[in-house]
Order: sequence, then C-alpha cells, then structure tokens
Amino acid sequence: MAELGQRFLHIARSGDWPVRLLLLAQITAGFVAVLGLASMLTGHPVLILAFTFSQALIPVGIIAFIIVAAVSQRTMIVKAFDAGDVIFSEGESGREVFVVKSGSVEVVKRNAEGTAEVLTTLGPGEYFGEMALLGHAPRNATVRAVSDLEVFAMTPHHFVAIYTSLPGLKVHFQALMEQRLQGLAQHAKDARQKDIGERAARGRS
Amino acid sequence: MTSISAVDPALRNFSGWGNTLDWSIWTTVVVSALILALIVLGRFRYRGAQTAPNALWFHLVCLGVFPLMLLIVGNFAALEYSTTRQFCGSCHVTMKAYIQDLQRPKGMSLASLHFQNRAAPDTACYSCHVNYGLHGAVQATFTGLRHVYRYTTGTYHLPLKIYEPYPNALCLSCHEGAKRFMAEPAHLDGDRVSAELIRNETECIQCHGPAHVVSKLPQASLRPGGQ
Repeated sequence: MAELGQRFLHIARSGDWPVRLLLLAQITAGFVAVLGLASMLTGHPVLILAFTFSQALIPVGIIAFIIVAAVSQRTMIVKAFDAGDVIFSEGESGREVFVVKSGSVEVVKRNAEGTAEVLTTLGPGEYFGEMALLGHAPRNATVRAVSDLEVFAMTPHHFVAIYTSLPGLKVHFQALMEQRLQGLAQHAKDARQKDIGERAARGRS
Repeated sequence: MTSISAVDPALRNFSGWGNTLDWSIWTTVVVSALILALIVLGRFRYRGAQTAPNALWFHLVCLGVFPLMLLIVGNFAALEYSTTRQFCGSCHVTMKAYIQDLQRPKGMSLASLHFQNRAAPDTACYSCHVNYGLHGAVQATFTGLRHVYRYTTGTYHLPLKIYEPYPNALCLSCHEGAKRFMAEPAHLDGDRVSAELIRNETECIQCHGPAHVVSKLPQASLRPGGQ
C-alpha cells in the first residue's frame, strides 16, 4: 500500500507546477502594476521608462495564466491548511480524494457517547476521502490537520483520468474501502460491547 | 507625493474634467492599484486553492482583464506624457535653463515666442524637435530613451548640442502657406517656397534665431560621470 501510495504521490505532484506558474503570473502583473503606480504618481523619467519596458511582461503573465487555466482542469489542486484546520467533517457530503503532500492529518470519529476518537494518523503519500468518492456516501469521519498541511485534492474527474495510468488503483481502492469499512464496523462493535459491559457493571453495583 | 498632472497646471484644460492625459494617468493609477489589491486579496481568499475553478475566474480579472487594460492605457499615458515639456524638463540639471528660457514672459528666442503665442504649449519641446509622421514619433521615442539613459548614468556632455542641423521642414510644416510667411519675398521663389529653404541650404534660424537664449548653461554636471 505504501508503494502504491508513493506512486500515487509521484503522479499527484504533477499538479504542483500550475500553482507556481500562477504565482509567476501574479508576480509579473504585480511588478508592472507597482511600476505603473510609482511612475504615474511621481512622474520620474526613469520610472516611466521602466514602466514602459515592463509592459512587455504583461503578455508573459497572461500566457502563463492561460496555461494554468487550461491545465488546471486536468491536474490536481494543491490545498494548504494550518495545523488544527478541519479538511472535512463527518456527515458532510463531498467527492474529493486527498493525497497528503506534506504534513500529517488525523482521522477522527465520534463514538456512541459523542467523544471524538482518533482512528489513525496519515502522512505524506497517504490518502483519505476515497470512500465518499467510490461509495457516494457522506464522509464517515472527520479529518483534521495535525501540522501545517498541503494536500492534493482529486475530483472524480481526476480520479477517472488516473485510472488510465494506474489500472490497479480502482481495485486497490475497493479493497481499501472494504478494509476501512470492516475497521469501522469493528470499531462500532467494540464500542457497543464496551457500552454493554459498562451498563452491566453499573447494574451489578 | 504629487501626480504627473498635478504639478503642471498648463496640462489642464478649462472644462474641469481634465484632458486625455489626465484621464489616462489616473486610469493607469486606478487599474494598477486594482491589480495589486486583487492579487493580494486572491492570495488570501484562495489560499491553498489557487487553481480551483472559482479562483481562476477571480484571477482572470486581475491577471488577464486588468493587465490588458493597463497595457493599453499605461502605454498611452507613458508615451503621451513623454511628449510634454514637463517630461523634457524633468532632467532639470541639463534642461532647466531651456525650460526657463521657454517660459520667460519677455523672452525673444524662437522657443519663447512660440510658447508665448501658445503654439502647442503643453508639448513645446516635442512639437519643434520631433520629425512629423510615425517615423518621427518612433525616432523621438528611441532618442528619448537614449537621453534618459545618458541622464541616469551621467554620461552626457555639456554644453548640450543638437545632433544635426535643425531641419527647415519642421518650421515649414506649420508656417508654409501662412499669410505672413507667404507675404515675405525672401521665403519664395516666385509663388512657391524657396528651394533653398526646402533643401535646408539656408536655415530658418539663421534669420529668425536664436532658437534658445540660455545665458547660464550649466558648465559641469552635478551627476557623477557627467562632463
């Protein structure tokens, strides 16, 4: 699973460069705008000259933006979260799968008494949220960032596209989903038994 | 801090709405400020999801639409402003004396007489020193770039000299056919403008000069490297 996760992360990393290209477009547009403001407000000949020449950067920024807009439909989006942020909550609807790029998350589920229990912690290369994607069901756990986090968000569209490059992925996900469902069922069963045991103990006393 | 147009009342017209240059300058300022504000807003609002579909619509405005507006309006403002005497006079160490001569109320130089008669007062330097037509404008742009470079790096030489004999064609483009010009026999061969004038064999300023009366030309540069 870890190996498949690493391969998955390798493919997912291809979604990183549009963000950098967009930053380049923002820097070029911002640079020209700063020169525009400075030259028009001061009237300094050197600034006016610099502003005139810098406008050659505007088409560069626009082309960079067009490339980002064109490829972003096919590449995964990088999302960043601070430590403690909730990526999604139990019961929410959602169809994105998340791959941890950096940082770590904890998967939290409320038990019958309403207390939050940490089921597992996931790190770089591991993914979560796939059960909602494949099962069309609401999120069955809450996922929270443990540290500063970056994740690749994969929509069903991306997921289908990745099938072509990783044919074993669907099988893997289905197996994983069954495994996690069994884990959840076991968790519920344990909680129920614990509850029954506690009630019996209270009855005896 | 003052804007380009705020420092020169001569650039304003009487309508109170400002002229084309005013509008282009302030549109450039507003569009530049909007681009900066939207980029910063976009960085925060779509933090961690810069390439999400709704973020891309937002970025389209600040990275596509407004920069295109800036390209058009900004270029117009910069090029239009570079034709004003205020721009020429901004290299004040070398040009201040010429601008002062131009604006002298009782000045007798050609430049001063033209300025006092309100012949293109806003663009006094440009109007008389730039060849007409597209070629002239392009040539003036490159010459202006060279001037700014020389001024900035302090690699100019004093006293300033004109590159080439002043072409009569620049005078004739306004004066040819004018009543007073055509009434002067020295200007004509028969009923046509003298071929001597057209061929620049006799320069207009030989009889009508001096072009500028600059009594106190700066003899040494205040900038490092100037000679």
